[in-house]
Amino acid sequence: MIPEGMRDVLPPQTVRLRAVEDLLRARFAAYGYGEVRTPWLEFAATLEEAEDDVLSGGYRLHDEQGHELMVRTDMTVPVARMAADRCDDAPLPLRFSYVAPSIRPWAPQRGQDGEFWQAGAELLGLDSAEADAECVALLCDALTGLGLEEFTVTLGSAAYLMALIDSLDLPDDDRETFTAAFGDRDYPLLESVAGNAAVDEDALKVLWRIIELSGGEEMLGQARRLARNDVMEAALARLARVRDLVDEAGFGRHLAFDFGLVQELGYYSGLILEAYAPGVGLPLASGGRYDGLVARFEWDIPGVGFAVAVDRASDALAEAGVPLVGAPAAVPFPGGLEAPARTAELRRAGIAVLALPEGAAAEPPLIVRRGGAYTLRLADGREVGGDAAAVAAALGA
Amino acid sequence: MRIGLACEVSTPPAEVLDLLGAAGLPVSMLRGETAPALFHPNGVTWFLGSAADVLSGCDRGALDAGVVGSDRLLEGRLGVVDLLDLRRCRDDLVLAVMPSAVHADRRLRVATRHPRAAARHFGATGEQPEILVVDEPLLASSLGMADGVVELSARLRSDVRGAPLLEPRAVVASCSAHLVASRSARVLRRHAFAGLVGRLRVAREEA
Repeated sequence: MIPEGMRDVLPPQTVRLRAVEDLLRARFAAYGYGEVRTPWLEFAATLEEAEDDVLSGGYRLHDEQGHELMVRTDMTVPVARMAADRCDDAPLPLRFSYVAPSIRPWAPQRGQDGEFWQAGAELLGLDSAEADAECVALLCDALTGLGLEEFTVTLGSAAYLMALIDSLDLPDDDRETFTAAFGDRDYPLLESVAGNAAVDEDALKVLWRIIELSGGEEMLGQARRLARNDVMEAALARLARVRDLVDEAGFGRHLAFDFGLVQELGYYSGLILEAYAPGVGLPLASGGRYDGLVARFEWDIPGVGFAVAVDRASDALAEAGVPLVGAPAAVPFPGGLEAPARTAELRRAGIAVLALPEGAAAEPPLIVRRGGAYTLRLADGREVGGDAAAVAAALGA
Repeated sequence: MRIGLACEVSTPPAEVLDLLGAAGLPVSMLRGETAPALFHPNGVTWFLGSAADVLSGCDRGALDAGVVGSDRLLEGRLGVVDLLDLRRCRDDLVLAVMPSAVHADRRLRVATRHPRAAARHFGATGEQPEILVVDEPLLASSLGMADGVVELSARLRSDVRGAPLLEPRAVVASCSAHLVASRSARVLRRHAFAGLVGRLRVAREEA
């Protein structure tokens, strides 16, 4: 009854998801990231600016003027577009956050619903290790704020990888295919392109060794020994600085490094990150530096950010046994439907009330009217309270 | 650690078990077992299943690692990390055709479980056959759906009843068993992986 890849979310789950969203919002706000909303629909050309098949593959439609529109497939590109459109005279840096859904055509095995909610943060206008570190620390703080104790944020560098690919001296067409194959982890295609382009075998061996570099901070040293040019060295120095700053912020124990880390989205230019937690196979969060993306909307400022997958974060918390405290459940009040003044009085006292018809069956705890007074009937049959304030006190409202 | 072993039609290959055993993994109870099955010896969970299920398990983090044929990895776009060529169960992915079914004036039809590997091969040779994705390429050929297959050579020799005689014409790729890892497990259990890969590398060279 609903399109493939879509789903309905019912109250027990929405309470959890809303709690996750609210906790993430609170952490973003604590770092000064102002929440933004962007429209569901963008011009198709806007999302095509990312030059990425996934982002350009959204649902398309046309408005009455014949413009080609697309349902947004991502939030980073719309935020970049919004910043260029609306904020290009604002003092830098800009800090934005969002909690919003995007929609992509669903595909089996992708591990993502067609509609998926992300809570993200974007820091625009600063190109520095310090800005990268703030984003990584904010992500760690946000996941910690959710109640997760065991998670790992793994860091890589698109700048390091791109400089390595540059050093292979591939012809332009092959470089494009090679880079795309790298993003897809399509190693057979990588080998095929490298073979056709007669890439130096030693250079290729370095590439394979770098892809395998995954682990603790000792990986930085190994990556440094494999660096083939100054750009790679500089990328590593910056990553080491990010590591130091995040450690200073108190989150060093959550960091790991992966130099084979690549993202599906082709706009990353520096830091790349993914976060994992036990029991959830897919990344809880991903992101990175995307200098050059905002420039596609005619404002050349750098940017770095990340997005937390709300569903996966909720799953990770369930795996870790972390309770999520959402809005309190409404207390049943048989007869409340016929007594709106009484119900309003209870709600004014801070009690969430589920107004039911007189005589309706309800499980305790429930509110029982005794003439002009109220009592709260507990599961053991006891009744406490006497008026709205007393019932609220008994509920801890 | 939770490890999946791909064994499509039989027991886990002895040469893979020998290697895993030499690397210190408890494999004795797996010998002679057939998929699907689950075992839990000495803190390791073994899953015997199809390559597709092993890869899906790794992709979703239900398995930490898996051993699958690299023919399945040739299809790309998998959310797993290819950690090590175990250099066991070597086989060639080949293009094999029914000589009688090939006509110069008709487009070749090839049945396969490996569409991307096949497409890449034909892209390199300049041929433009119709590629038909099926689970049992040999039987697809016998039904007349295809003139040939892209398939592992060992499966050409298998006794699939009713399968036609196919003649290998070209090697599409050389394949072997590979150790793959879940992306999350590789990050979250990196110390365990570093040790396992190191031991497997040593055992692979010593054998």
